[in-house]
Amino acid sequence: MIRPSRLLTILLSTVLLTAACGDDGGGGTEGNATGAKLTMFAFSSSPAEDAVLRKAVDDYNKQGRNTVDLKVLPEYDTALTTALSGGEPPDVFYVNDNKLPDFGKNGVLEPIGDKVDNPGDFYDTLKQSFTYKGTYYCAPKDFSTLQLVYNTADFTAAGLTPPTTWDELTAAAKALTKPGHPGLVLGPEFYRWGVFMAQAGAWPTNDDVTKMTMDTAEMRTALQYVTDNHKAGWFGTPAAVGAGWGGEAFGKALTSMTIEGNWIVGAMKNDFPNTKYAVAELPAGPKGKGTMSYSVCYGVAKAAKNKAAALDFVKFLTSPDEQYTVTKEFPVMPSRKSLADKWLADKPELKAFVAGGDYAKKSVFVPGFSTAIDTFNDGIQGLAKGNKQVGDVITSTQKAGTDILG
Amino acid sequence: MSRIHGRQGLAGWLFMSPAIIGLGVFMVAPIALALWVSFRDWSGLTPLGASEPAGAANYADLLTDSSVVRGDFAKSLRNNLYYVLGVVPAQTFLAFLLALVVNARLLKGRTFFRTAFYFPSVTSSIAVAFIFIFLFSPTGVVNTVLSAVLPGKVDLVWLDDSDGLLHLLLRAVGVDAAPGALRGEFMDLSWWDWLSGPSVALSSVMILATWTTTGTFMLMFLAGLQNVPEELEEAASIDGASPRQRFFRITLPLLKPTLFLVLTLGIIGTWQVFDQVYAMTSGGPQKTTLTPAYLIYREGFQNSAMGRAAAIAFVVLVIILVFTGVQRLVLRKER
Repeated sequence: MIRPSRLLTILLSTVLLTAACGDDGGGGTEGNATGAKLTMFAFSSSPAEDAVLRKAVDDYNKQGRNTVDLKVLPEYDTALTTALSGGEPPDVFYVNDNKLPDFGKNGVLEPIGDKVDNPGDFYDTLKQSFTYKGTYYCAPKDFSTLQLVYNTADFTAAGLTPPTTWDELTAAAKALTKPGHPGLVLGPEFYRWGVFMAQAGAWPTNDDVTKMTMDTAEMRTALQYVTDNHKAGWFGTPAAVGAGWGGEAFGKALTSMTIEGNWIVGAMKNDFPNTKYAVAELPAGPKGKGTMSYSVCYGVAKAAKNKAAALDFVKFLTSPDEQYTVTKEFPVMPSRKSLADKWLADKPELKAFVAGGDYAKKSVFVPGFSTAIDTFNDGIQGLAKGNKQVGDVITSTQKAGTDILG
Repeated sequence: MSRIHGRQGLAGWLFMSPAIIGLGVFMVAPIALALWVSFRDWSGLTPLGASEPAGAANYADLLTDSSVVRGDFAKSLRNNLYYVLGVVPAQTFLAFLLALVVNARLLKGRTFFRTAFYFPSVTSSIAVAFIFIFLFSPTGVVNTVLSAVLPGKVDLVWLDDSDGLLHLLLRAVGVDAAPGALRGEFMDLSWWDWLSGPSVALSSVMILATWTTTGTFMLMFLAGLQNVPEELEEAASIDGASPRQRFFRITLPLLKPTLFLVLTLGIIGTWQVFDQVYAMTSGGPQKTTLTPAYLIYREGFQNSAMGRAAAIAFVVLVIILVFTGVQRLVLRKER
């Protein structure tokens, strides 16, 4: 521990880099659509994903229009921030939906959302995720939704079918609960509990994210429902059963149900190949079905030297054929509606995730809002543990959000 | 005469220039720039030149303006304060004890023990953190051992328990909520919460930190002990001093410079704790392991508020200076 704070070093080197090469105000140039050398920044969760992306880039390079140099980076946010602040950003890079507001506010991205082929084909909720103050910045690469993942053997043994209402979910969780084995395990954070808010017709902010709407009867209903189930011991947190996340608890048979996104499919295949499971749509709440979507887009830097060539490359990546190739082997879903049936053809068991695309809420707010979400998570952890009251959590989150939204 | 001196001066500067350039480029310039950044409204997503001046707004966010940011900063200060108060005495005392043991002339296999005690310090902190995640898991070794020793089954969820130790203690004697006197707030955090003590989760991180750093400080004490001249001890024995007297009158006073070094390094290191928090708890549960260093990372890279992150760094610098200053005064007085 006696080492100079590594953080300070990162921070300082970021600043230093900026000083060294930060002469460009970020204007960028249109350039030619062909004959350019492009750089792309990406992240990847597995060697397999890495390989598929590399193949896509190779295929593009073979077409001979431009040459793309792909850099797959660990510690992606840090690397991208450093490149952006240095004024030498990559031409094309992955943008996580939750970073989009910050990028939009700071003029990092060239708005190319509508410039790809057939832009109307993308799911509307995803377009919303990548829209900031009316500007649709970038076309989504793929997406995931949250749904109910359940252990089929446990369900058969208990004589259960997938729950379709909150009451049925409570009953199923109760029936599946054993000592040290809650019926349902979900992470104590907004990005999981939010599905119940969507189902109850509640949300932390209004649709334009201009006003906090925590203090509503619907929000109380949603939070109270999940809290009561935790109190009864039928819902649990991953940490309480000794797991890092819902998928791990589920795979290790420490629970019979969890609420996770498409990524759980890869984890189950790699780490827990023997657990038999299925995916169902989450039960409907008082206001119907509800879930949340997560997405990544291909951003083009405003400061890029060859924006025309970068757009050409993004058009290639988001073309139906290429998008199908990239998502075919993976649980993440194509962001084009027209590809849904083709993608589902060889994995019908993931239908529930695709169905979520029609009614999912975006999980994106405004710059600086993550502080409010942190406060909300703080409260949600307290509710799950039983040392906070719903009313207090609503008050503190309302206040934290109002600090940011004004 | 003066010409020769002049030339000597030039040669001197020339010989020093590598060090001066190195320090300038890697120490002085970045620190000066970071200080400048702390007065700018900079997201870190565009070149620094494009940022707007912010005056003292970044510091005001942390210290004077009532907001959730100040509340988080207050929590990080509280957590880190308990961390320093727990880890620094523990690691100093343990390191000294181990050094005495390893230095004992009668001990067999001294080299083995020296290596064993030093081993945690040379292991990657992230790897150690992951091992501790397993140790402290609900079904991990810690709970198993405690269950065997204590009556009943211990199923503490160490790394997800946000209850403060002092709060738990007070609860044991029947005080479950803030008494009237502690209802007030300071920096958006109630006095009751300021006095929570370290949470169970933070205590786990503290145990890990003590375990990893003790070895390094043991080595420093060992070097100090081996510098105590044997003649002095012999002379004292001949004068009829008991082992206890020899320890308190000779060994301990001679180790004061080492003690000063160990305490200073300990305070600086503990105020900068980051990797263990990053790997084990990410600031949770309920923000009870949030530290200023982790907050710098969160604000700078996740929240795109690089100016505020730099401001936190400088506030922490001031805190470290104050703490080291106080510790210097205390040790000097005793002299």
